[in-house]
Amino acid sequence: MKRAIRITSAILVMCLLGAAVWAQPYSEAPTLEAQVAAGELPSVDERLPLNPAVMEPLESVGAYSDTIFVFVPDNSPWNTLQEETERGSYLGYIRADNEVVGNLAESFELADDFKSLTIHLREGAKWSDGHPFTADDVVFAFDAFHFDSRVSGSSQPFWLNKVRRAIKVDDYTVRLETDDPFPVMLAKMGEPAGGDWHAYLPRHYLEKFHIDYNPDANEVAAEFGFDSWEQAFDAYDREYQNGFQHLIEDGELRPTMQPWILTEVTDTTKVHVRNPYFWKVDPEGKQLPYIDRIVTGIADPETINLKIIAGEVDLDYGVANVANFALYKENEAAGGYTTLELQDQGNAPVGFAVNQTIDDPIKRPIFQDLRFRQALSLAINAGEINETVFFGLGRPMVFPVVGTSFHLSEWDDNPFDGYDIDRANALLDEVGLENRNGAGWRLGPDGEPFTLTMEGRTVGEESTTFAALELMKEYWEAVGLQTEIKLSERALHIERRDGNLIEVNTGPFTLGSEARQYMIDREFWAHGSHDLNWAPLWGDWLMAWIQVEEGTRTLEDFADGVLPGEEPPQIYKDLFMWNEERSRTVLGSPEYIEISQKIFDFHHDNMLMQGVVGGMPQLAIAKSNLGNVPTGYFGSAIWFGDLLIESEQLYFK
Amino acid sequence: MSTQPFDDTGAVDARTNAAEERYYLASSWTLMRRRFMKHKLALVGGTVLLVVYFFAIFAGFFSVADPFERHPDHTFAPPTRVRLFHEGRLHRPFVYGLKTGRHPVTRAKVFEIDREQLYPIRFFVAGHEYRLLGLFPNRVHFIGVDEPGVLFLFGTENLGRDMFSRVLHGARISLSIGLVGVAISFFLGCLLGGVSGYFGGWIDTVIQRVIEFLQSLPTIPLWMGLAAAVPITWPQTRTYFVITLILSILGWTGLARVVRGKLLQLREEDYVMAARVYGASDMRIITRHLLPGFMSYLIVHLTLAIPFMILGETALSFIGIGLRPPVISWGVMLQQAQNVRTVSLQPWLLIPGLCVVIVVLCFNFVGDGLRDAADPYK
Amino acid sequence: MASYIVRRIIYMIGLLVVLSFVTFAIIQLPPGDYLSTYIANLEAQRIPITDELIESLRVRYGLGDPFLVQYSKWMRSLLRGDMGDSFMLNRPVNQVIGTRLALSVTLSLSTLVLVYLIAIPIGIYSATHQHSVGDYIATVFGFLGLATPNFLLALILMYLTFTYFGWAPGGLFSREYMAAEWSFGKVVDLIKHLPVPLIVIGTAGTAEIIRILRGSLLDELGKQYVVTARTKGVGERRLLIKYPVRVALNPIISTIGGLLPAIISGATLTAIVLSLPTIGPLLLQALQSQDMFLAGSIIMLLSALGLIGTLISDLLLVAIDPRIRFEVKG
Repeated sequence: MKRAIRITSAILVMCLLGAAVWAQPYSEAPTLEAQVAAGELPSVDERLPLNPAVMEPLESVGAYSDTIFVFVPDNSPWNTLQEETERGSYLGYIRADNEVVGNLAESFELADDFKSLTIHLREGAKWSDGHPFTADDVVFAFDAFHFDSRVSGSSQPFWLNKVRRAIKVDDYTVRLETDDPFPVMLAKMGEPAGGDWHAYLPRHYLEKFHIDYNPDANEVAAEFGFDSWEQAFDAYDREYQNGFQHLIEDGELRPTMQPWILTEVTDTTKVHVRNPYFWKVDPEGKQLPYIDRIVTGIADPETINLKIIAGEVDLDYGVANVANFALYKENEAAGGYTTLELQDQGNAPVGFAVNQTIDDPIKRPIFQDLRFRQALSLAINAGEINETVFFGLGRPMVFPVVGTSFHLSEWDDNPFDGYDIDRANALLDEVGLENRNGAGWRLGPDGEPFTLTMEGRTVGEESTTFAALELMKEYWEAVGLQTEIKLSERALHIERRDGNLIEVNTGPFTLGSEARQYMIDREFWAHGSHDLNWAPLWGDWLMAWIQVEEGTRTLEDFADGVLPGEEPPQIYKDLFMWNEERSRTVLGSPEYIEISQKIFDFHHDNMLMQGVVGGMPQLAIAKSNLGNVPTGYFGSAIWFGDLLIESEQLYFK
Repeated sequence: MSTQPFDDTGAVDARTNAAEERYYLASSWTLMRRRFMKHKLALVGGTVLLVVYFFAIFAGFFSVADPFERHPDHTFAPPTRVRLFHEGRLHRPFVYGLKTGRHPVTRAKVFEIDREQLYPIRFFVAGHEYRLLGLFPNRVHFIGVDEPGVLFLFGTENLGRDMFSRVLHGARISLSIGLVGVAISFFLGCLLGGVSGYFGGWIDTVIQRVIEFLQSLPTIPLWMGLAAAVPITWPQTRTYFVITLILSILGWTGLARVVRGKLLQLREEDYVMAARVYGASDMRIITRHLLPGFMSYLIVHLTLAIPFMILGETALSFIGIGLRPPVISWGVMLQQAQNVRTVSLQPWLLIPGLCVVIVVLCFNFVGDGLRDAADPYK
Repeated sequence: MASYIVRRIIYMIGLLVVLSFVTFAIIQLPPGDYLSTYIANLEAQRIPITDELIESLRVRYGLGDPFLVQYSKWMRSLLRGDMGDSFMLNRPVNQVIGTRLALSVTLSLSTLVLVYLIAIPIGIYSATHQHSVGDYIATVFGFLGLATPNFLLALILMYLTFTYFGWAPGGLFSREYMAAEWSFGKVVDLIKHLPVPLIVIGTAGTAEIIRILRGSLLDELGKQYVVTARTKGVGERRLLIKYPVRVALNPIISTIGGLLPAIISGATLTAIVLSLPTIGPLLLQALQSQDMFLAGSIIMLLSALGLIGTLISDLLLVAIDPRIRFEVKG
């Protein structure tokens, strides 16, 4: 396989680089030197793997620095400087050219039949407590966690649906096997934040909780105050989702492969301290990370905005919001920071989806009529939304996918990106909404006013988006469609969406880069993304149906022995299957391009999900003296947080 | 006879006596009015309130633009300055034209005054259509300028809608919530407090326990629980009513206590006994003899309850469970202005906050004045 | 007196039981439960949600149980002094509340002292100089605090103190001290962060007390005994402090009932805006995510404190004003 060759050559280069580094002695942070001198830690050579990963500096080689301060609005795992323990230190990652390169793993080999992936780990790499990191940790993650239905964490991610076996070849080599060809596996290896990844778990730490590894697991669980071993395992398996049980209950540092170890957590602060065993060095042989400590404060978003302009925030990529663009720009000099505009990948901050399975005999046929959806698009003055709400930072974009290897040129001048009230009116007349009442509202076939209800989420910070919805309401009302906006708190919103109660779903339209949407979960193709769910009932049916087809469930598992939801028309089943087919092709291959073209043409033509304004930059704030700050997106990243894969090279100039 | 030396003094005495006599014979209401007049702040407050309510009632007439009309070229426009001098010479009130552009770095709209273009302020001009008092379609507005001039007395918000008109329309909702809420409180408070105080016994016990119970519930969870239970499919008007109801839930308990306490006190007064001996019915005793006895206290209590309702509306909006756009209320507008960007770059969006402060302040002054006046025989 | 107190306590317990039930019901009024919040979180992390996952979570959190079963579980653990576990923070409620309680109390007590120090002299001055310019100025300033929505005042003050004095905005500590051990420097840093919250929280309370004190003092000053004392040549200051002020303070003492819970959860909205780690914002967060044990327990704590406060203020009233006798209530 050409691809395998390319990967190996990349690995070769990295090995050579590694060898070059080997020639010079490794050095370490001053704080660690003291600990080594005091005999509390082994020397840096002993702590690093035989062949450490070598970072490629974004700007330059850095210097060891003290503390970085960041502020986040809540305790969510993704918004400190590193992700959940096993999600941040990816075995590999996808570069901007869609190449998967080694990271924690030295190299990968995807078999020619796409049915197995061999992962070579770095010999001598160690967990943050000094315990060796080996193939056992990967196999344990699969056998004890992903494949074990007794622990509730076994919510199988899409790619794991296909992986059937994890085999230890030797101490540093693991082979993942599937029954069907599944090349997406390789890309998934480098996908940051791609869902429930956890390709490895600290076996030496967790096995005491698992009955298969420790016959006394139930006693251990009782000791820790749990009713059963399942509960105990569940509470300790994943660091963040389980509320830092290890730290809070036991004051214990959980072994990690991350650049920093979480050492302190309260509901107002989090502290991470450098991992003395981190397995990466800079080109000069200095062990990473450069920064000693991350102190994260939890504060109200507006307080954080004030702290940003006061120059108290060293790095922010979650709170900074386009609505405040002028505020950040105006205070840059005084606050000593830079406002970074990261070019997003076609991301539309506002999108909408018309529910194809709405439970309304009058509305459903009209919602299912393509001309109706085209009319909705034509009635929207996206240029004005861009100018008014987004300060002209984006551009009108109905289908926000950019820079793909399949054919997109005809989408670039999409006729439906335009604003044409007359055509919108004509189309609405054609679908049976030609009659109007005295107030000018269009009447449905039943003679009653034909109303639309847009539903979205109330998030205080999303007021710009709400302004966009207000404009859309105005535009649709201008063509005679009486429109209402209903916002609900997100949990309620999800309930209403899953309950098939929402007529027009609104939310951001995020497909991300090509590599990203290559590995999007299958349910996306069943009913649309979470926010832009265009067919809840068909989605329920398809997701259940594919499980029965694959044999992971039987009809008896469902109420009354029938599939839930509603069987979709053939073409939507086809769409779903096209994606299954696509997951058997290699990103960028001719078969991949052909099938992708089919999928995206269908989506594009049928306007199941529509963006309004796209190409919006993502804002990030970085203090001017902070070095090696990522300034652009790469590979599969869809948000800045994904770039934390490189956070170990941040330093203060 | 006609030149009696003490005539003058006698006349003075007679005048003083007349004044005193008027004072002693004056009805309690007159006395109250006099005492109220002595409270300067209360007078000022009352006048301001009258003006504000007048503007709110005729919001359509006084507003310059439709509160929903967007001016896409004038987003976040600062308040327009009304000028009297052009090139150093006195001129009838006018505004200059505005040239708009985008700041190359901050991307914010920038506005430059165009001294070439003058738009005199005109009175009783034709503008957008509205319904006077909600009934009569009308196009006449108090002030306006000719197109393409713009007059944004309080500036514009993020979509370029005129804040002045929005503040006026918002006043309708925000100010009426106080009144409606107080009316509900008043009704419940008088009824239950009256029943409780007059009849006493087990009825009194039950009502008092319910009040104590309601008062020991913390406010925010109570609000949140009730507001969240309002289905999101409900129309805005019904939501408005429910929110008013929620706000008055706590209002009536305080009032009922006041009513009961006063009744208990008055019940023992001699004149009530006298009425009872005369065979007056319970209803007659309550309405004719007891209620007037503490009406003034009730009014004080009510005046002071209104500002809490107005503040309550803004608080509900702040925690995201109050009214929601597209409804225009001061609380909704404040919620959208509750950010650092506004305070720093668009402070005029905080004008609804200023209005809340002024109105609440005035209600308090009036309440204070009424309280001073409440017991005129002191 | 002892039997009165005992009766009151028994009655309080009864009220608390009813309260607990209603509270528990109110928390669950909004549609959905904690699980919907949890699922929303998982979605945000792009974690696929399967029916099995939902089911196992439902069992784990005991959310599948009927209302009464959930309630009785909660009550039983409450009686053991255990307020249950917080879903969203995944730790015992006792611990969660504990960490915030100290800061809440510190903040509220210092506000309280400040409020009394400012309000009582102003109130006395206002009453003794009724309708004077000073009275008007005091009234306007007092009411200004009452009339300004706290959340707005907090934001504006935070912004202004930052732009004009360069004070670090929000929270109770500068970033350097956020995660530091207690030290002299940290205490100094805390003191530097107190003015804004103290002013914002204090303003509303000040107005209230000025008004109550002014009103009741005016009543007292007109009474016969004051006039008599004055004709007997008692000095103005002594005359004022000796009786009228003492009596006029009664209504303020009766507000202690409401003060105790306010000390814990007071000024929730202000605390949110200023990012103060007190109990109030925690309660709001718990309610929003339907973290019922956390929310329920905080509410119960507040209600209990409220009732205890009422009892204390009733007893205090008796102690201060001998004319008040025990009124035995139902």
